Amino acid sequence: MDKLFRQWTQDHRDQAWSLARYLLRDPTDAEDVVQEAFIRLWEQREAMSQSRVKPWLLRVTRNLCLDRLRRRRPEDPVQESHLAGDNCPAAGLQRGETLARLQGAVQALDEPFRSLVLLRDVQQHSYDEVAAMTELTLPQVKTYLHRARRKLREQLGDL
Amino acid sequence: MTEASDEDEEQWERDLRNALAKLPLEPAPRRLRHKLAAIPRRQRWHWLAGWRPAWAVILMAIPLTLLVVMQQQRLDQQEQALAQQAQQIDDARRELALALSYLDKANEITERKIAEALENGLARPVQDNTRYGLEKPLEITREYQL
Repeated sequence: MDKLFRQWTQDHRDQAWSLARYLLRDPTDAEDVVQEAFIRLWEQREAMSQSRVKPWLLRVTRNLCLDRLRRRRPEDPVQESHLAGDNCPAAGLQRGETLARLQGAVQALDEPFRSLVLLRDVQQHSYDEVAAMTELTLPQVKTYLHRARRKLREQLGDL
Repeated sequence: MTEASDEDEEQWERDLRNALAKLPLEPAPRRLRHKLAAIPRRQRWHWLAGWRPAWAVILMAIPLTLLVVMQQQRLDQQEQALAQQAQQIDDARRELALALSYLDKANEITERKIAEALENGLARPVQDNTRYGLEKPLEITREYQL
């Protein structure tokens, strides 16, 4: 079971981290949330199956992020740091203004639009997985995604 | 016109999704990776933390229990000692009662003998105030000349 848990950790930690970073922005908060999500996965490991792990983990991560956001008072300073860009070793991707604008626009979306765009368009999960992670129905996912993309278009204009 | 704008919109959405798909996924920082790797080891002992209040109660309860047990032992010893003393007093009472009964018997015999002696004329009462006898245990102190 330890081995399996380690495997799950390796397979999904980056996605969980990425989701938490986009939702919370603050890297310390994101770290706490991801750690908490994996602790819960450890506690539930006996009841978990390979196919359920990813949607379950990302749903828990998202919910923990939303809880934290609700608790966050408006005047609390958020330690924002640049996402991905500078630290990301994933080479071959264009950085610069377009990237920053796009990231900023995604982060500026309200929930559940932000989560949906992150999970579907950025992390490329399937619609079914996104529905499971966000606890929405499939039609709701598609409708909200469409609205989210329109909002992004309004913000971004031409990419 | 409408078709063109629909196509434009679809194209825009495709471009957006392509751009979003290319957003870099930030890998988990090393510190987080270490924390996640340590979860199985830490969580195995985590249940101990949940027992903190119980440990506190147990730690307080042990000396209190010992104190109560010692106190109880002391009380038991004192009770035993008192019981022994009571027994000794009872024994002494019994012996005293026995001794008194012997004295009573001795008194009876003496009185009988005196009465017999007086009857037989072997003795007569003497009034002598210079010599004093014990007033106890005999009720009547008399000196008899035989």
